[in-house]
Amino acid sequence: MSSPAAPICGAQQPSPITGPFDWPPLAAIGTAASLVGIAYGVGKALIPALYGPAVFTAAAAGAGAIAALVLYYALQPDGCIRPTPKGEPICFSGIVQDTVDMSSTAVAVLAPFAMGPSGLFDVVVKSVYWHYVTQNSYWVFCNDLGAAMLRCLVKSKTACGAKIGSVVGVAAGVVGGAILGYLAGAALGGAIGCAASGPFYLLCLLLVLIVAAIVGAAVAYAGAAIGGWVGEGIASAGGDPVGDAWKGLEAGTIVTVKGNWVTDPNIGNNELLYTTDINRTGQFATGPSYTTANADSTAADDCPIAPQPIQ
Amino acid sequence: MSSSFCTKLGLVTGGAVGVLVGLLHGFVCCTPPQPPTWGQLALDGLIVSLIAALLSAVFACLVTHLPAQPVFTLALLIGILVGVLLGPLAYHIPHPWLALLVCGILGDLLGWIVCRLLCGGARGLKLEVSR
Repeated sequence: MSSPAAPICGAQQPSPITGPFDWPPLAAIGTAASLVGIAYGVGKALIPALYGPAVFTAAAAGAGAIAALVLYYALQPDGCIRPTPKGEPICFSGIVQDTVDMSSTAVAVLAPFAMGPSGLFDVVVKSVYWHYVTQNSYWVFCNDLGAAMLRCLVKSKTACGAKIGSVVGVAAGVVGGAILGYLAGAALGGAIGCAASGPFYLLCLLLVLIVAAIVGAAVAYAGAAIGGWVGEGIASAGGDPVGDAWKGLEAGTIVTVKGNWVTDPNIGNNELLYTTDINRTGQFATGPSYTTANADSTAADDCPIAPQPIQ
Repeated sequence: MSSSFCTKLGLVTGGAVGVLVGLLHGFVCCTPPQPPTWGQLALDGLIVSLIAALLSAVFACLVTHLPAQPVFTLALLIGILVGVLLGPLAYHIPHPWLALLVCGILGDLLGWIVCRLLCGGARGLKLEVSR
């Protein structure tokens, strides 16, 4: 049996990635417009002051913008609230080329709802697994020796907890933000007396609206952050075998890896989203760059035989 | 820089201008009433859009690995364009929800145009930085 041709590094197909239509921003703006309409109606019904409904609507819009931001991150298909894109469970082996820690303390503290995966590692695969790198892909990652690699992403347990916590926190924060933002704006408007500001009337009124919106947004953001921290704390309890195994990886580790095999919608490379099992089987002596021949020279793995599919 | 980043920035700044300047609709100063001039409304829009663009750029730099200088340059350009062009429009739209919708979509379009001119293709000015 002849061995398959080595993958070509880089772009695989002449056409760009056919991504789906980017509907979330349009859906978000439509939803935001509806909520502003409702807030303005509520404000007009409940607040008799001349510009009270406008101030309340500005506060609600500021708080709502933060809610939209949190929901944008929480509803990403990352396996936390929405499932990951459906791929195929695969098993392969090779040598770890590099590992990347994607966690950020700044994001974990300041924007816990935006936390991403814990990290990733690239594996120089054995030639028998080349089809996992090339099939249906638009891009093939290679190392500096031209060996094809498969990228493996590691899910963060704490990120999922933070996202769920932030959604709960921002729900409370939006209500508080709309009320506190309105009170702050109304207090400022009363203090500076916009009605007597003559030609600067609109500018004065705009300042009141901006303050109301910023206070509303700040309160909602605080709710999301506090909820996220609580969620992180809860999620960090208990074991994380894949995360622990990933932390022990280094360049040259020989591994057998299992996970959900998909094509990245942005770059077009095939990858594991997410890795479900990492089994260390040895350590390669030299490095840090490895060839496919190096990977082929390692001991046989225990993956079930996966013949290359018919193209 | 991805055009998706510019369109989102335009959407956010346009939406902010739409809702906040749109909420001023119907308010006029003085006796007899003096409708605001185009310049006043453009200034109002500019203030709102620059605040929104600045906050968006800070957040983008926090959660992504994008380089700060191009992000803030794009935010400034999109903020100026969106504020000056959409401020007067937002004031004249009778409902704040409609102003948010219209200005958000137009802001999205302006963001895409800015990115297309500055970051798209070999003929455009390059704001990319090497990593």
